[in-house]
Amino acid sequence: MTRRESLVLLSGTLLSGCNSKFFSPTAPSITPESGLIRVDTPEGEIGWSPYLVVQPDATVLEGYKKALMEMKARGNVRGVRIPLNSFRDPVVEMVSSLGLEMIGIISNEELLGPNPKAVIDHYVATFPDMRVLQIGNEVSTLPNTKKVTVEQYMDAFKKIYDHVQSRYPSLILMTQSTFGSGYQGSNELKRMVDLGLNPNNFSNQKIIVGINVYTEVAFNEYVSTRNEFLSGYRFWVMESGTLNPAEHISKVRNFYPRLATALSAERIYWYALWATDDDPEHAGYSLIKHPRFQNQMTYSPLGQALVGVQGGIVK
Amino acid sequence: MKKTLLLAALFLLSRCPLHAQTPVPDTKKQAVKTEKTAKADKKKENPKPGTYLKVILIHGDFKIYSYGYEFNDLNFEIENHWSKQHVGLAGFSIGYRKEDFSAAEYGHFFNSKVFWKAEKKGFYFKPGIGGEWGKPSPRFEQTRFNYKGKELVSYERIYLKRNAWMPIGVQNTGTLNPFVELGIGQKVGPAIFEGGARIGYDKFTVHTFQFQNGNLIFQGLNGEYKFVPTLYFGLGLKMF
Repeated sequence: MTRRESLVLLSGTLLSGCNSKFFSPTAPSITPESGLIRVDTPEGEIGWSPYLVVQPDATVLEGYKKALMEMKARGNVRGVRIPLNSFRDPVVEMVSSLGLEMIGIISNEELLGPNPKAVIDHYVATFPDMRVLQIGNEVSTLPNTKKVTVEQYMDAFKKIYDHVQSRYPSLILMTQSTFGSGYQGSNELKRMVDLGLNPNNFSNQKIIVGINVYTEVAFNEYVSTRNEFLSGYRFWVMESGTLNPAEHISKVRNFYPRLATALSAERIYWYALWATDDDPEHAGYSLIKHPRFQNQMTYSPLGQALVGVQGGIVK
Repeated sequence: MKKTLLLAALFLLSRCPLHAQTPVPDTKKQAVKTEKTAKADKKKENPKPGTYLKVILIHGDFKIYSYGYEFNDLNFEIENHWSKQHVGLAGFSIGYRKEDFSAAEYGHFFNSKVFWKAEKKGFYFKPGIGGEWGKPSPRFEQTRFNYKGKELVSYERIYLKRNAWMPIGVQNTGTLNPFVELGIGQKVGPAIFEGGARIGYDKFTVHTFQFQNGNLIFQGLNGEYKFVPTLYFGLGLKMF
């Protein structure tokens, strides 16, 4: 064999590396052990986690109600995550009336107040039906909100945790959900570990770690971070999704089984049932469009599969 | 894939020399003695020294904790066969392995090994030992959820222990694990063909969670080392 022939053979072997199917894993199959439920879609069967993010906007109440009722009737929604106002707003009342489990988020701003314990007392009294409270969300990264450093956050979280253990021991606290793209979220989670997030300070029976996961990098980093530093804690993915409605179904089909299998996420919340109609940074995540006017309301392809709609008409 | 590797292995084995040793006539005893002495002197020399650039296909198909794994990785190596043995060793290699081509951000490993070599009529048997450091993909992470109706009762998660410093992403989430390699190869002109087995020795953790009425009530934790067996087939080209 000449050097030239060898080179050709070597190049051929190298080029075969470009065949991504040969060298890439396939998505895990949907089995009962995956913890996901099966949903039929035009793109085939997908594994779905029946949880959603709902924004507290009372102007779209009827649209929300229609979509959630249809999803619930098909077993495709069991619970929602909702940012809390200081009172029981109409969206909370509507969700509660449908018998869906709610997880409330206490806003980042309130964590910096002078008395976070009083904040908890107020929310527990106002929302006695909530078993899990999420304390903050993307505290250092959420746009258009006052930023909270992770040091400030852990200080407030510790105070709240101690208070809850003494006053409301059956209440489960969820950590802030860290950022869902790149390395930022997992680095912040690791910083929380460095600042005391461990079973000696926070019982793994009393708290759940919340994370947002949108990208492949964030996913893998969270897997590593959980394995190495937080293996004893339960993990819930409090936001996942994609901005392109045409990719909603494929995102769930390819990503959810991996979140469940590799990250052991007990739940995955889709962001969001509705995330505005016109904000280019958020609107595409929505499962429903134009919920203000029921006769104009439409669904993304995933939304259609979840409510059983074809061509805009409920079956 | 299995068939390809099997055929490659059979091809190599079919070309192995299996001749019986010819009896030596008494009259030639003296000449043989001289020849033996020369052979002994040559023993410490590698017949085909040089530096090779190798491309290796690694195939895994095995079970760990009853989970089946099937994957293909690509390994690039620069392998140096010394002209003389050093402490019994015939050479060393440094390499880079990529696992999971769907993601550029992880599944990168650097490896290095030393090897011994026994050679006969162009064929060589090459056992080696080395280590590999890198940022793994989540291929070994598995979870089995157990539901009673809609209620989560328990789950078991299995994951690969992270045990090494990593400069990218979260620190200390890399892996550093040993491996052994057993290869059979042949040199054809400036190229070498080699096939064999590479067996890693990685630490896994089994973590169980049990629930009652949605509350975590018990956790079990068990970690142990497991062999990670793979087959490989590679092609090398002599650079110098």
